This record gives sequence, C-alpha cells and structure tokens, in this order.
Amino acid sequence: MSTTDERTLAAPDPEIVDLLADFFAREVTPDVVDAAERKGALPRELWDRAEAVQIPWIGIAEEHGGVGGTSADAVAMLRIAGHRAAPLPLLEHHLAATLLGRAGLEPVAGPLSIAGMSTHEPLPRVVDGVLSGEIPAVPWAGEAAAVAVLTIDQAGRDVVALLRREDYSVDDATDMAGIPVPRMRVDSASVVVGEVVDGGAPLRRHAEVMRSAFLAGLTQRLYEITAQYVSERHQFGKPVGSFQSVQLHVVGLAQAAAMSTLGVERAAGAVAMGAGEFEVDAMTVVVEESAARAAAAAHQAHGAIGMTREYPLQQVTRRVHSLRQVWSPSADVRLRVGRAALAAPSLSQLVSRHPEEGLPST
Amino acid sequence: MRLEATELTRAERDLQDEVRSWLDERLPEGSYPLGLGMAGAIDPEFSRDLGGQGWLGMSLPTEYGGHGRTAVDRLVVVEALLAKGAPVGYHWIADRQSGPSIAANGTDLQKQQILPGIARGELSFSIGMSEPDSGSDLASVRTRAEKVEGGWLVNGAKIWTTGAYTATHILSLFRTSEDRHSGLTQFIVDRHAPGLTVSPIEFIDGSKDFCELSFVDVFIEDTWRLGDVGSGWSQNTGELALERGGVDRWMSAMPILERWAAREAAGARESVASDLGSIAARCWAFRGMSLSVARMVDEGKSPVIEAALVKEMATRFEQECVEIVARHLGRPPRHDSDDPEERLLATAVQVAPSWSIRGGTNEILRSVISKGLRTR
Repeated sequence: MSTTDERTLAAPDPEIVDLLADFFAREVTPDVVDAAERKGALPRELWDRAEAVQIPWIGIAEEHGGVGGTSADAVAMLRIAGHRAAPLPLLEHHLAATLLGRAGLEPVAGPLSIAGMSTHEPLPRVVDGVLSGEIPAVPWAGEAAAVAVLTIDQAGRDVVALLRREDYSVDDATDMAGIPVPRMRVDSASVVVGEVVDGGAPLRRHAEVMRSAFLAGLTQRLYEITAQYVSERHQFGKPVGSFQSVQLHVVGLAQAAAMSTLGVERAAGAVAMGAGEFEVDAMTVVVEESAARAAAAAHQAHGAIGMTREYPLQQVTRRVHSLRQVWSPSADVRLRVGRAALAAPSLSQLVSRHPEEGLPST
Repeated sequence: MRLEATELTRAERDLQDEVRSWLDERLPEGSYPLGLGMAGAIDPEFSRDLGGQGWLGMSLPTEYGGHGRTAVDRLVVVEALLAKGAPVGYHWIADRQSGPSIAANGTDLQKQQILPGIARGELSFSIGMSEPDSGSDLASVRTRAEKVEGGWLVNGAKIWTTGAYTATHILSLFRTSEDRHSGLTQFIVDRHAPGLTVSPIEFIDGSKDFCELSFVDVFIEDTWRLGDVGSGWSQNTGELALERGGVDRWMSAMPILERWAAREAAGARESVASDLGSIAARCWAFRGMSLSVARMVDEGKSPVIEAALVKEMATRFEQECVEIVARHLGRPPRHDSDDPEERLLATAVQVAPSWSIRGGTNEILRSVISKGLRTR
C-alpha cells in the first residue's frame, strides 16, 4: 500500500458528488420540502426522478441491486441530501438495501424502509419464519414497498426479516419534520428471513455513520443559510453580521459544520476498515451536540424571521431535532464512550490510535 | 472551509510507538514536575535529550541540523509529550515557531548559527511581541529600532513575554518606521545583550515565566534582522497562523484527564463516565482536526482560517475539561496538596483563562475567522 493510499481515507467519487450536488440543488427547493410536508406523504415524482439517476442505490453493491460505489459515496449522498433537507426515505432505503445485501437476500425494488435500528425499544422476534407484533415509528412505512426489520430469531441470532407492504397496517403518525412515522402492525406474517453476516453490530455502526452524514449536511446548511442572512439583513444601518456578537454565532456554526463533516468521514473510514467501535460512538456524540448547538445558534442569529414557516430555516432545524437520538438516547452513547475511555489504559492513546488497532483495554 | 479525513501511516505509527517508549523510560512517573501542555517545566537537559533523538526542529532543513520531516511527524511527537505533561518549556517556542520562522525568513548565516542549536535543544526562544499598550492590537507596537552605523539601536519595553528569563534568544517585533503595518520589523535578539533587562512578572499561580523586558540603547547588528525591513507584520502573521491548529490547543489539561480517568477506572459513577464520554468524544474530534490541519501544511496549503477555527473552539474545550474535573473533586483543589494531581488541578483552575488568550485571544480569532469565511 502506498503512503498516500494509507493515510487518505476513501474520498467520494467527485463525479458522483457533482451529480448529487446538482440534483438536490435543482430538485429539492424549500417549496418542494414544504409541499411534501403539507401533503404528509412521500413526493413520489421526486423519488422517481432520484431513482432515474440511481441516487438511492449509490453505495449498494451491484449484486444487491445497487450501482456500486464506496461507503464514502453513500456518505456524500446522505450529506448532500441532508444539506437540502430532502423529504425522501434515502437514509432508510440505503440501510434496508444494505441490510438485505448483508443477509444475502434478493434485492427488492424501492422505496424501502428500515426498522429495528432503535436500541431501546423491544422488537417482535421472528419465530419459525413468522413475525407478529407492533413496531413503532417506522419512517415512510405506509408508502414503502417493503420494510427490512433488523431483529433476532428464536435462537437469538441477528436476522433481517423482510415485510412486504401487504404484511402490515399503519397508523398516521408524523414526526417533527412532517415525515410519516407510523406504527406498523404485523399479524402473523410469513417473512423472508436472512441471517445478518457478522451480526447486527457492524450494521448499526454503518447506520449511525449514515444518519450522522445527513445530520452533518443539515448542520452545514444551517451555517450557510445563517452566513448568508446576516450579510444581507441590515439593522442600525449595517449588516447584522458586522456585529461581533452575531459573528460569534456564525463562527460557532462554521465550527459545528467542520467538526461534524470531518468526524463523519473519519468514522466512515474506520467502519470501512472493519473497525470503528469507538470512533462511531465518539462521532455520534460530537455530531449530535454540534447539530443541536448549530440549530440554536442559527435561530438566535436570525431573530424572528427564522421562527416562521415562510422562511426555510425551520425546515432544517426541525429535521435536526427529528433525527437526533432517533435510535438511541445520546446520553447512552456518551456513557458508552466514557466507559471505553475508563477501560482504556490511556485517554490520549485511545483518541490518537489508528482505527485498525481496535479498542484498547487494560 | 474543508478539513479532509486522514489517519496516520504505518511509518507515522512506528514513530508514535518509538516516542512513547522512549518517554516512558526517560520520564518515569514522579521523576519530573507535571506540566500543563506548552507550559511544561523548563528543563534544558530534557530538551537536549529530546533533540538528541532527532525530535526537535523536525521540519527544519537537514543542512541546518534539522531533520526534514513533516508537520504530521512533529504532531506525533508533540502529542506524546503533552500527554505526559513533559517538561517542554525550554524548547517549546523555538521548536514550534521560531525555528520554522527563521528557516522561512532568515539569511543563510542566521540559519547556520541558530537552527542547529534549536534542533539540538540548546537554544531557547521567547517571543517579544506584546507591549504595555499593544496587546491584541499588535500593529500599535511602539518599541523602536533606530538605524545606526552597522545595526540598530532599540529602546522601549515588551511585556507578558513567556519564558524570556531563561531564554537564550528573543524573537522581537520592533517599530522601524511610522507606517502602521509596514513599519514593523523582526529581530533575533540575544537575551543577554547589554541594555536589555528581563524582569519576571509573577503569574496568577505564583510561577515566574512571564516577563517584562526593558530595552535601553540595545545595539543589534543588522545581521540579526529577520527578513526585510518592514516585513515584520506579515512574517509575524504567518508565524502565528500556522501554529494555531496544533494539538497543544486542546491538550493542556491532558495530564489531568489521564490521571482522572485512571483513578476513576474502577467503579466510576455514571456521572463521571458520562462527563468523560463527552470529553473523550471531543478529544477524538479535535485530534482529527489537528491532524487534518497538519496534513494540509505538509501538502503546501495554508490553512490559516481552519487553524484559527480549531484554536478558538479547542481552547474553550480544554477550559471546560478543567471545570468538569474540578466539579467531580468535590472540594477546592489545593496547591499545597501532597497529591501531585491535585496540585496540578489547582494550577489548572488558576491558569486556564490564559489558554484562550495566548497566541491570539478568542475575540481576535473570531474576527479573523469571520473575515476569512466571508472572503472564501
């Protein structure tokens, strides 16, 4: 391995990045986001246009129905989708397709959704190929073609169960960002089941990276909207961004965006190396804290206009709040990082080691 | 604004192992006074030993006694030193900024005479910038260097000059004409030059590394002018900017954190684990940012804004670390405690405010960042 390859974590394909930036800037305007929310449904035409250029299948291997590419490409896809607050099940679809692939199941046409990422809600188990019970808050479940459920079977193995749309009913719950998150009711459905290769833990790490990529994109957008606004809004005869107390918010936003984006890419690199146990948790803590602080700073710098539905800031901040802690309480993650630090012989060595070296312990 | 993800290469990890093993042997626990980051103890013997390993002046050119290594190699060494709270005080400024600055702006003679001594750990530098009336507004510097036959005659005062008492040289910024920015010139001043008086100023914790410098008709040969007359401001800005994103900006409290984590390892309360988790996660994130900035430097880029952005948030973080550990102690830390960890914490509580002041206050950094972001 050459020195350059070794030190540089996989970067996304620049052509893919260009395609994504172009697509989302053109197709996902604040009006599109608003319309999707008011309708409370999946903007099917937008999904079809994304699918026409294969965006939902970036980072999924060809034998699993995707178009190939690296996890860095998938990170870029979700970061850029997050940057435009895209009202599409891209995160869920990506994770479902990844999960089906890892379980060696046949690819399924999208849009797909995912259940079982939550670490604190018990899920129904698969018993003899049959799944029965309720699963709360499954994004887009009513409009998905199928839902991949990460659960365990009667032997306690990590498995994925594929629920077709006809296998479940849904209610009409929505989250803070206006995304449908219905409770699924499954009544003795015979499901296709596959054992997850390497178990559920690596998949959960992959999922945290992808969710955080979306959050990092939202955070970057908060910085951009705010920097733009404070340079245009005049008070006391000058742009409000020329006041130091307002600059403080803009600097904080730039810091949050830079720290999150870098953290996600490093954690993605660690996971790609087959590691990342510590890195993903550390990254999750940092990205969540950064996103929350960024949302607060963006609102404060905007003043009253940022609180209105006619101004697009709220589309981004509401998505930050609906995506934070969606699978596990950040307090739990922080505790896990702390326990890892307590178990390591040295804090500085823990944070400065190469991800390949695994988690040190005394 | 873009920080690229990077990790250490195999060779860099080997260096990391080598430095840590050497330090464990050279600095057994209890054999040296624990330091807080760059404010580590002054120990010329340790600095010479470190230089003997080839770990000082690492990025300086080999023809001047340097080692032609990278910014990342230096990061690896510095990180290991700061984690131990090593006595880095004697060589710190020379290694971090005076050496690279002289390598970039100095004459061949200056490089020959100074750089090998820096790489060997024999020379100690101090930075003569601030004056009683020039702190953040550095361009208002008034100490004058008057052109005379064969050199310059300096009169005036510098203040808050860390390490000047024990330094061998002071890299100073003097006024050579009335132009606000282009009237400033840098000089390499012999600490023992006749007419230069160095008086310690007692620091908040009772230490005496802070100094006041009085220049009365101090003669400096023109040979020791660094760079062109009038280029002091831009040289100085460049010097400051690239040193802002280093690990020293978030590792000041590391010796405290290490010991706190070790002491709590068995049966830590949940509140301790949670606070440590928040700290460890951010250490990991800042480490990635510092490494990314160092790689950019090695690629010939000039990550000025990135470095300022890191320093502004990293120094606030290290202050928060001290606050968190102090909160868990449950009583005021005593500077006269028998426990060296508690003494270190008592020092940290007192000196932590300086971390977001030295090397550019956070207020100045924010305006540097704001301006930089607007023009990108």
